[in-house]
Amino acid sequence: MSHAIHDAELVIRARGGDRSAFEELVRRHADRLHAVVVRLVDDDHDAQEVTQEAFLRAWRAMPKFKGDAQFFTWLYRIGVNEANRRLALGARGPGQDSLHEIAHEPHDRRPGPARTTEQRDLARALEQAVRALHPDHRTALVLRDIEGLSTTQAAEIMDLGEAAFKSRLHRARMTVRDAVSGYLHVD
Amino acid sequence: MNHWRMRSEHRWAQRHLPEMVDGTLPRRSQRLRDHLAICPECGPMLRELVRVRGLLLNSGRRPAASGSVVPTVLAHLRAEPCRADHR
Repeated sequence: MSHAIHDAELVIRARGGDRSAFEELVRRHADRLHAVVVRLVDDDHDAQEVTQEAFLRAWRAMPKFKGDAQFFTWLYRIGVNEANRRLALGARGPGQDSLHEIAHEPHDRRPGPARTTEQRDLARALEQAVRALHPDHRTALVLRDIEGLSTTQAAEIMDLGEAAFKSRLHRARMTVRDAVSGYLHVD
Repeated sequence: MNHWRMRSEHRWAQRHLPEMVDGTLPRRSQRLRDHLAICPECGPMLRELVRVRGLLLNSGRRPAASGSVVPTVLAHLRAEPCRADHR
C-alpha cells in the first residue's frame, strides 16, 4: 500500500509527541497486526486486547524508537511478544476457526459436496496443526507463510538470525505437513 | 547412480528443501530437480510442503471475520494521557 506520507515521516512526528501522526500509524497497521495476533492467541477478544496493548506500548516507547528498523517490524515485535506473554499466562484456549474458510480455496475445481467435505476436513486439520505448534514455531509460520512477510522481516520481528529463523520455520512446516498429509492428495 | 551417491544427494536435497519451498534456490535447482525426479521421499515431500504453504498463504489473504480494530485501538490510545516528556 502506498501513502502520500511515509511511515518514517509519521514516526518522526510521533516521536516528538504528535498524537495525530501516531493515530495515522494505527490506521495503517492495526488491522494487519490484529490479523497476525489472532492467529497466535486463538481468540478474537484476546487478539484485540493484545493489539491495543501493543499500540499503547509503542506510543509510550516512541521516544526510544531509533528508527533503525521499519516501524511495522518494531510494532510487530511488540505485538508478538505481548501475544506470547499472554499465551504463557495461559489465557483462553482455542477459539474461532481463522483458517476455516480455506474450505473455499479458489483453485480447487472438483465438483460439489465431496470437494466441500474434503476441503473442510483439510481446513480443520490445518487449523489444528497450526494451533498445536510450539509458540516459537507457530510465530515463524504465521509471519512467513500466513502473513507473507519476508524471511528477513520475520526473523527481525522474532529477534532471530535468519538461519535460526529458517530452522524454526522448516520444523513448523514439516510438523504441519505431517499432520495434514493424509488430506492433501498431492499427485 | 550408486547407493552411496544416492544417499549423499538425498541428504543434500533434504538440507535444501526449505529453499525450494520458498523458491529461493537459483543455481542449485537443477541438481535438486534431478534428485526429486528419482527420489520417492523428497519429491512427494516437496509437493506437500508447497501445497501446505499455498494453503496457509491463501488463508492469510482472507479478511478478518470481525470488523476493523482501528476504532477501539484509537479509543484506547486516546484514553492515555499525553506523554509528559513531550508536553
